[in-house]
Amino acid sequence: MLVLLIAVITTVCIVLGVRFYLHSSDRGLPHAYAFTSGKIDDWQAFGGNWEIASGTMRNDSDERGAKLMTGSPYWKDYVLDADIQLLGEKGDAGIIVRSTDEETGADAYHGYYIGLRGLESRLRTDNSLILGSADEIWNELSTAPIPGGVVPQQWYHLRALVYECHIVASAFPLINPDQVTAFSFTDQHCIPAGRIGLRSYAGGGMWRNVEVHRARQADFVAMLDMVRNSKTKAYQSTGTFHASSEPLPLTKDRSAPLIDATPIGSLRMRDVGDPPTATVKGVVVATSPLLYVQDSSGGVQVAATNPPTLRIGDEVQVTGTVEPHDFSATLRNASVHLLWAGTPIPPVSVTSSQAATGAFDASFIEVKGYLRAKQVAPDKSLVLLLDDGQQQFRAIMSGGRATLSYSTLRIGSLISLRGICTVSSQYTQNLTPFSLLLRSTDDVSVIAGPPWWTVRHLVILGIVLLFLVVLAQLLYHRIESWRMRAVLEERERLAHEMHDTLAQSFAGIGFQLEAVRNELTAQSTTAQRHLDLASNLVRHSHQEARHAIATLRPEFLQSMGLLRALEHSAAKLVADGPVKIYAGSRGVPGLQPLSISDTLFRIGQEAIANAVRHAQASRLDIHLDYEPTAVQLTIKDNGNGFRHEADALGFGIRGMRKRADMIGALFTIEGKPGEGTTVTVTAALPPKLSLRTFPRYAWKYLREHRIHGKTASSFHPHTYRG
Amino acid sequence: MQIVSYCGERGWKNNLAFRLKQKIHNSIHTKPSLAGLIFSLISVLNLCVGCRRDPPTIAVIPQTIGTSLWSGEYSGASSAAQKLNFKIYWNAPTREDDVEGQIALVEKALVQHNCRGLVLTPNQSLALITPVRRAVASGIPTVITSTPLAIPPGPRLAYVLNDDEEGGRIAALHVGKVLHGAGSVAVMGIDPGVRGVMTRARSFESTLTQFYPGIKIIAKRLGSYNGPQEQQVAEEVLRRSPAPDVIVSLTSAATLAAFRTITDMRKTSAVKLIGFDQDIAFWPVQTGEIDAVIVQDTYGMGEQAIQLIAELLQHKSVPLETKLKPMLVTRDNLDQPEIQHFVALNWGLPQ
Repeated sequence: MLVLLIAVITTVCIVLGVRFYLHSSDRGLPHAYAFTSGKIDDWQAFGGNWEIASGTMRNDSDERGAKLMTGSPYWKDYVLDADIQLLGEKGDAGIIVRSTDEETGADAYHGYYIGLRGLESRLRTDNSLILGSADEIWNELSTAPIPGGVVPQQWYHLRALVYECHIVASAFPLINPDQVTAFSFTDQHCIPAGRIGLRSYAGGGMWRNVEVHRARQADFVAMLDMVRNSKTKAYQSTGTFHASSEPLPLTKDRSAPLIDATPIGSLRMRDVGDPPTATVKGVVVATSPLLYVQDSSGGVQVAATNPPTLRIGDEVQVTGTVEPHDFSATLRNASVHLLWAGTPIPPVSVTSSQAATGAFDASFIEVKGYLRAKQVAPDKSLVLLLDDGQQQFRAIMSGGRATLSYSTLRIGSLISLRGICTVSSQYTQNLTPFSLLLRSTDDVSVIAGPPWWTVRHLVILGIVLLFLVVLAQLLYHRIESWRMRAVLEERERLAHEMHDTLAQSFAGIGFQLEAVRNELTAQSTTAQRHLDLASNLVRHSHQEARHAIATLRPEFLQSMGLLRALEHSAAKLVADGPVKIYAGSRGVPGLQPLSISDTLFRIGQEAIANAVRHAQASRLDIHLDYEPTAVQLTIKDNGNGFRHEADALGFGIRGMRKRADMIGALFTIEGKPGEGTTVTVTAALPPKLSLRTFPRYAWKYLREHRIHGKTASSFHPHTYRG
Repeated sequence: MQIVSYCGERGWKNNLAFRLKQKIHNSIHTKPSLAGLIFSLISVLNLCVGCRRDPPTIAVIPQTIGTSLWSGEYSGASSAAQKLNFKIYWNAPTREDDVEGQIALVEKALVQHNCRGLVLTPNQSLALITPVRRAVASGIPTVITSTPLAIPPGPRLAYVLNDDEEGGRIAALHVGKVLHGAGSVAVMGIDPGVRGVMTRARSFESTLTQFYPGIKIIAKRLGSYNGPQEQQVAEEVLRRSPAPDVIVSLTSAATLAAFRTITDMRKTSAVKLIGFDQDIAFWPVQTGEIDAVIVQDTYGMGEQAIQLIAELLQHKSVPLETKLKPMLVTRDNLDQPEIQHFVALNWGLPQ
């Protein structure tokens, strides 16, 4: 019980210790995030199109509120640094601090966002450093204009400090570090702790040199000094609700001429005589590995000469030479004009059979399938082979986080993939009807892992079951051993009781009878005869009691060993009689289970008693044969012999046989009238458990129990011996 | 009002805390045992994790998120929720035409967030029927806002709608006023997937025919929430000869596309634009580039929807259908207080 209590207290201490460690506000700090391929496993994307490019993290999606999160939800006071670049002049990009409960959605997180806002809908906060909190809805807390505006594709260094309920933010362009914009804000109902993240809103961005370290009061004071020195005019909200800004009509790229656009779907059906060039308008659905534009009639691959920086969701006007294919077209030598920033369009959900018709060639689709194989191509792109029972298809993800997906995607998983459908043999290798070009790892989501009945799981399950069976067996025999020990202890107690009461009483009665004898006169012959008879009875009963006491007490079995105990027992029975006793053994007596030693001793005692009392033998052989897996006891005499018919049902023999059965031992008795009797008991020893013997033992056990449905007599139920 | 039996996602913890407290109480008043000691230790550990009674959560899922139109609904819902001791789960797809995304969010809200009520503005009148019916069948009180589904209201399903009949009528009367009873109109953004939009279209056409027979509808175009497609439609309409005098765009996407196209083609003075829904900022109205916008009372929708959910949770009977009047916003009335209520984007949440 005490051991159990100590174990529980230790477990509780360990749990508390682990919990304290995991909930520590310092765990993992400081940390610098190097955006190199395969080393960004701990970032979690919520929307967007996140990829690594030349040591930077890039989101080239116009999605509202795309997030990439990492860190511990228990981080409290810290400083987050990052270099940030807006991909276009619209939207904003920045960093998230103290965030929890993130989901996909524009403001679906609980935390603070500090960002650089580019041009918006003629808002007062355009070209500003902004701070806001999000709790499913955006609440703008403070803003400060950036001198000269936020220039797209220019690096800015952004720093956010959260200390108690104070938030301090600063930003400066890397080309002019003295041009610092900074402000501080105190949130009375502040969010106490949370993760860090990268976020963009209605415009893509790039991030690099992301570092986080614990904030101390000195850091806070230093940043406040920076705020004072920057003389930034910050506007602080009154705490009321503000709607998120949205990508709204701004000035269009005026270089784009207003041309009547051709539906993309009609490009592949060009008539003879049609001009070789065409202009289409659509939304960018992929920028990597190839540029694809889509409208309501279909998609087209664009091979542009000098494309502007494009993000997924941008509305563009494309003019190029039409190269029609069977199912779609390519616009070669294309000029691309950005019209507006937009919201990425959702994929069309289709089955693999629908995609295999080619009707969705060059279009952004979503399809589900089971992962059958995966490999990394020489160019580091990840190639997945999938099928959904009807069609087999490939999915190709290039560069960036492809290696991460390789390690996380498990064969047999049901996967949903979003990407550009292509029937080009360049990608299908003429092996599958179509391929999907994935834009980033976020285009892959695992719906369900592989089924549990894999070979590996079955093997593990088998081993666990085997272990449990052996454990149960071990437990059973440990309990049996305890029970046996209890029986022996009880016998010993009985022996002591008999010695102290019955034997002493017999001695006392004998003494009293002798006293009576002394009182009688010589004439009392009848009384003398009765007295002799009584004295003999008392003596005999006293001897029987002493014999019973001797057999009940196992000490000498434990102290002498089995052979010596049997020899001693035989010698007492013979008691200077004519019977010669020869005892011997072969092999090394190991440590046997108590139940086996005790049973062999009892059977041996019974056999010796039979030989001495009934066989009228002159020689008695006691032999023990120790084998590695069994022990054999042989009691042999040269007496009257054994009559099977008459003696087989005798109480003594039945008792010996029953005892042998209890330990799964083989009991034989042989003999003929006039030729002596041989009693043999062979008991199998339980194996010594080791890594080498365990499988053989387990297999034997299962075979015995599963095939035959019962324990064979040759197999001892004891599970082990020390 | 008593709403104590509905637990949010921490409900199971509340029950566990109760059981633990009972167990500790029992163990104190009975013979101490090792099992009791162990259980008490575990109980203390569990209590340390932090169990508190959270208010029930109601999911409010608009058509999209991050736009001024639906931010109004959040404000209204939050205001009511705060008064009625509810918690709001607020999320939506990033596009109005992401029907699958909205269906997934409905299921997520009910299953993962254990929401006890649902306020939904459907992106599609048909596709959202099944998830809503499932929610209602599982006992979740549901209120549909803005535009109806193609199923009737019922004991656990109520509607708080924008009065699109009135919206169409307002638009027609304003067109008549702008054109002084004679001219041509093109109607864009007719989306059969959104019932409210179809109601607007029918109401607009019938009112115009009834009151201004001199105004002809020269073009009617189907629409969607696909920006480039809507722009292409707008270009086709504006290239007609003769071009329409007024474009009436029935959705926010069509309004945006028409505005962009009119601006690009430099026809802001020649073609008047009358749009629906306050998804765009109001500076084009101030400058006159957009003649008028007919706005929804999304704040009122959110507020009333939460109140209805509260009553449905108490098994009270509620009005099956409520319609909120839209408002016409023009340069002339933009500064009026009642209009600012719709357009200022600053409702001031109760503190």
